[in-house]
Amino acid sequence: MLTFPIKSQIATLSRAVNGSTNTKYLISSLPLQFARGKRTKRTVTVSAGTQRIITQLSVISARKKVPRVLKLSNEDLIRHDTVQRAWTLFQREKRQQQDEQLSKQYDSIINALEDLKAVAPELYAVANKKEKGKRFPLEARIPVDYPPNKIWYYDVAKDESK
Amino acid sequence: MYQPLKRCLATVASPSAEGSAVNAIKAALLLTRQPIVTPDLTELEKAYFNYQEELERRLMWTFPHYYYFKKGSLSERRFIKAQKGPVSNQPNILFEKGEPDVVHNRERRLKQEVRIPKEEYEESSMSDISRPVVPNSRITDADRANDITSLERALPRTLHLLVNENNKGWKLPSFALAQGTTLHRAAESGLRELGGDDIHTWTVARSPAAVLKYEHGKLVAPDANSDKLEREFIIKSHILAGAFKPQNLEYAWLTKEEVEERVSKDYFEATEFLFSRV
Repeated sequence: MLTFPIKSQIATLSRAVNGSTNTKYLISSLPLQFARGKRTKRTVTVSAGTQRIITQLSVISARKKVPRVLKLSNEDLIRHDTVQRAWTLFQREKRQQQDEQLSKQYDSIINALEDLKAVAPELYAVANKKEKGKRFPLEARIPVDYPPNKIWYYDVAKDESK
Repeated sequence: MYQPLKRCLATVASPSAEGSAVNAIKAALLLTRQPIVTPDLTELEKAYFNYQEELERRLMWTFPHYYYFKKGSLSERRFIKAQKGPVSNQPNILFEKGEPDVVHNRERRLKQEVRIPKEEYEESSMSDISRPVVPNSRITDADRANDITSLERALPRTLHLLVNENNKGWKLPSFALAQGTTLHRAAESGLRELGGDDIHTWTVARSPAAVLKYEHGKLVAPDANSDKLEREFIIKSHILAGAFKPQNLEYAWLTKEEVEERVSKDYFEATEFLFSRV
């Protein structure tokens, strides 16, 4: 007990109990800490690189991260199925409307071209001429969620596309 | 498939009637402004997307914050402070909403709410790169003023150019064909004569999208055939920049529903499929 390491700043109660016969120790002014709360150093230390790999692996592993399995009651299941069916129905209607409009547009083009061929063959020839090198315009923009600061460009430098 | 039809129409056009037929041809222009913002969601879409998101969040793995924040760093401390920790399970206590099941500081029965720590912004740092992002409104001044001649209205919708010449009723702008010109050129140059050169358009195709047939100024069926027919071939085009600024002409940029309100009933029936629903 006399060979107790003086270097240690923290004396634990367990040690204090063991060395209860040593009155010299008990009256020492060192701070007292219980064994349960004592911070102990990790005995196995890994290098920083290994620790990084462990962290990265734990990110992609499901251990301790998966939530509980979703258990739906019968009513909830029926509700879920109804929602899904309503959604498929909605999508189907949308698709059918689009298809219908597209086929109408297609028929209309065919009809217009047939008519043009009968009435003005020279215009029909030009209308059917292949446009080589035609590109989609660079100025066209795709819709975004929120409008830009300048919504529309009014200044046209020179328009060559006629 | 179209062979018989072609032949029967080919016999209709006689060389003698050709001269008068070209005079009776007009080129109409369907000029559209494509949507600038994504379409508005319907109530069903909103509800469905919300439901799907909640389901996905409920089934999501616990957020591994130890991967994103360095241990002992200030940002880690700030992040942990912003989180609202779960209630841990205690023995001999009745929990009204079920017994807590906490693993890794996450309630496994519920979705995990990850809160991003809010940072304080000063008014002076509004030009700073870290300033909060404030999106522009999808409803513009033109929408509020109900200015139908503006190109900046109804951003989620496709707009179509309609004109009302001499109060004869709203319709697509149409132009007579000069000798030796083609349909798409006549449509584009006619538009510029009417509304000025400050406009940038892109013709979708040289071929017409539809034909409208008039007999004595009245619309007839698209498959009608007679010597006295007047034809309007509709060319499709997009406006990309600039504006249509005519002198003394009533014009409007309209969505499909607004087109239906303004044009005559038979005109809308004949052209309904050309206007975009989006």
